[in-house]
Amino acid sequence: MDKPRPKQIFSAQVNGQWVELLIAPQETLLEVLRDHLELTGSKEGCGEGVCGACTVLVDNQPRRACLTLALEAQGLPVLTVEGLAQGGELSREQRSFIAHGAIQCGYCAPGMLMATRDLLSRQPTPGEEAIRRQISGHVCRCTGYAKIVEAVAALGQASPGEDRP
Amino acid sequence: MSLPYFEYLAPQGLAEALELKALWGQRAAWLSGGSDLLVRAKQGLVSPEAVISLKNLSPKLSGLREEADHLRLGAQTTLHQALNHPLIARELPGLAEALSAIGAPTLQQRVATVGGNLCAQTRCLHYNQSALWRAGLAPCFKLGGELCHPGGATADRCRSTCQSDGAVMLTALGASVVLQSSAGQRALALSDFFTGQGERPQDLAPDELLTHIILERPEPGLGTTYIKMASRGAMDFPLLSAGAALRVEGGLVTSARLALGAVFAAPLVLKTAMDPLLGLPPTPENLAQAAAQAGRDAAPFMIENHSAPAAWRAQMVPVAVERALAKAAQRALGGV
Ligand SMILES: Cc1cc2nc3c(=O)[nH]c(=O)nc-3n(C[C@H](O)[C@H](O)[C@H](O)COP(=O)(O)OP(=O)(O)OC[C@H]3O[C@@H](n4cnc5c(N)ncnc54)[C@H](O)[C@@H]3O)c2cc1C
Ligand code: FES
Ligand code: FES
Repeated sequence: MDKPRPKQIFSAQVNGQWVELLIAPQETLLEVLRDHLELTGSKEGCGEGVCGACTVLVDNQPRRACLTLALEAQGLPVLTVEGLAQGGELSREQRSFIAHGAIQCGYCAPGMLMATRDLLSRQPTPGEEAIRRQISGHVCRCTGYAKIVEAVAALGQASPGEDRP
Repeated sequence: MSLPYFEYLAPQGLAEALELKALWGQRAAWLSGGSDLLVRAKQGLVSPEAVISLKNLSPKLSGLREEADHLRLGAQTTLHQALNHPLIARELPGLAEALSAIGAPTLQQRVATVGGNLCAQTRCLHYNQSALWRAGLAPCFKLGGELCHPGGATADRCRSTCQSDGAVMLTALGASVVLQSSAGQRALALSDFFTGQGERPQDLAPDELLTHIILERPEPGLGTTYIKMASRGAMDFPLLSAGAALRVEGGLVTSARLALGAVFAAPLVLKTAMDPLLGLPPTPENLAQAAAQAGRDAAPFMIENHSAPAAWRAQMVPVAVERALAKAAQRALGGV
């Protein structure tokens, strides 16, 4: 007879809301976000840590959701691309990406935006080298990266209050 | 891509963790950052019945402690924490270079650990592939089979290599590790911890946990560096790497340690190539001679087990070694 495969309770603060659900212990955070919580903003590009499209912030640290067991995020705040907009208004990162043409097919954008949020939270005015290094773990097959770098750089240069592009 | 079923255990403390591992043995795998383990689990290269998360142990097992005659680095220290530690950034730039060369900032720098890097599996072009890709090939030594694909008909062992950037540099630094089980603890020099066998690259018993890395205190006149050659500047495992630790006192080399990555199942320590440097000034000519000897010593290890041709990688050994020695010497003499 097959061994029992007990599920476990997963609870975390996803985009500010506490969620609690029953999951299989081997489920990745990406599966829980996309399949259980229907937060399909985070993408699965490769499933092996290579592309960065699944990047979310767990306890303010960037993580590959495809290589993170959901239970590793137990009890912690999780921020996904859906949590960036507040009160129906896009975040400054999202507005800058749009204004600079940094989104074409958009598949990399959720990961790129989370990488941007992480970088700016530690280094509010990053130079080009720091920006390129931060997004070096993110593959974009459309933009050629230049416009993404410009979008992030613009956020660093704008002083608070006048950050709306 | 989904993971196969396993149980998830998250012990609260070290004693509990060690008891659990003693109970489960080989059937369970430690989980640190997961950036090596979970990829292999997805590819069907490893199928643990349980993973034992080390997340609750991190506060106790991370950080760098300066003791009288050595440094003690917790195995759970993240790559980011380690390479930004003021002492490492200032006095062991080679280690900071190696750790920052791992993958990419948002991939594993903030969640993967130095211990996980040392315990990561050796790699090979024919092994680190999806189950579908591998289905066309007979299982190799590392998968419990009887052959080595790049090794060819005469191969009698696994020819996968150590591509862990941290492991190569820490070996060059002469570091050792502390392994603990509920039965006790032992310390092993990294040159013994890495067995040189691709089938079982680390001397780590099923009930043991790597808890600390012990480093010699950097002495005056020590220069360290890490040179990595890879397809891209980020995200890629090394195709070849060299970690160097050179000590220069009174203008003469008094200690020269060099390890290569992506060549052998363990970081390849090139002692016979480096020993002639002892007692000599680190002039470009002397360093070039040592580098040329390193190239001759490493040549027999080169086979088609990575994504760049073996001939190119063999040619690059003296180049990488010369660059590493030159930089290490420059730093030993007070440069940056
Ligand atoms: C796309 C990609 C690129 C990468 N690029 C690089 C690279 O350039 N260079 C490089 O070196 N690595 C690279 N890696 C591999 C990996 O990210 C690193 O080796 C990382 O440091 C592993 O640490 P971890 O904490 O995530 O390990 P884990 O995956 O958690 O663990 C690795 C192994 O060690 C065991 N283990 C973990 N902690 C302990 C412990 N304390 N005691 C005993 N056993 C333990 C685990 O059971 C597992 O078998 C890459 C990975 C990916 C996915
Ligand atoms: S889907 Fe996670 S890195 Fe590609
Ligand atoms: S916009 Fe298409 S992948 Fe980046």
